[in-house]
Amino acid sequence: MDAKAYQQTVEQLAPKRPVLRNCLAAFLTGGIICGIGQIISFIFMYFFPFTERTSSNPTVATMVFIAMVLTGLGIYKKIGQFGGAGSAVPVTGFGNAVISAAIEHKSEGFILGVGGNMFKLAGSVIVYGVFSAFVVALIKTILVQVGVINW
Amino acid sequence: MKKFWSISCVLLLIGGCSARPQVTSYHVEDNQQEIEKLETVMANQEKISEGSAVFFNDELVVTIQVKPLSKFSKEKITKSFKKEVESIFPDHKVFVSSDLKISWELNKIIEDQADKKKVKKELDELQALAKEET
Repeated sequence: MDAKAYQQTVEQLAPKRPVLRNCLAAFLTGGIICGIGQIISFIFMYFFPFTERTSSNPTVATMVFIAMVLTGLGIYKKIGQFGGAGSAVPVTGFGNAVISAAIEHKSEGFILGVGGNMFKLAGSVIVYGVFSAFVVALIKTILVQVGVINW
Repeated sequence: MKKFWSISCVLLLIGGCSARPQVTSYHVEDNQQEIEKLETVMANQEKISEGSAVFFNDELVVTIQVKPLSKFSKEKITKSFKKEVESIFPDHKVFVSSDLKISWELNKIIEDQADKKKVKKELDELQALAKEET
């Protein structure tokens, strides 16, 4: 059996992916997470001296912290199983990536295990996050200098 | 139950379609003419849903809430509105913000209707808060 025929057999036998259901679940989960984020943002604005612009930083920190606690308790795993990308794409997915890697490598010790592997997955998020932020800022700076948009 | 839903739908539709923005204002010297002037300016703005204003000596602090679909060009709308208000009140130091927090705080000042000294202090604090970057 060559590779092509094997692939065809796999496609025939494998259960069909419920794409529509997955999309809906991801949409709902991501939407609910963002809704909670909006509520937290309003709480920061109402009870603390944060404006619409400045409330985003503590909101992100709070959301990541909540995701970390939920990962530790094993609840975020269930949310991820239901929502898929809907739970991974928002910033809460970052907190989950950090803590789940830490838990996974706990048996290897705190220095080489937890410390060394904590940012195994989240490290790439940071690297490409910083890089894409740099590219976006560069494009915006050029557009502002040309006069297409203003800050 | 059906009747309730249909009535509430109609009410929401009427409420959502009302073009005139809601305006609340407070003038420390109670100059109604100036308040009316500002209200007519705001009434002509199609992209603003809510507005609040406080007149204090030569200072005029205005906050606006932009309609949801126009939020992408919030900064632009705020700037053009500020220019318009400045042209109508050339002897006032105009401050315009479209931030929700600033709007809440200004509404608190309007509700309290406090004395001059307190209003001055609160307005200064508000403007400092609006300038915060981080």
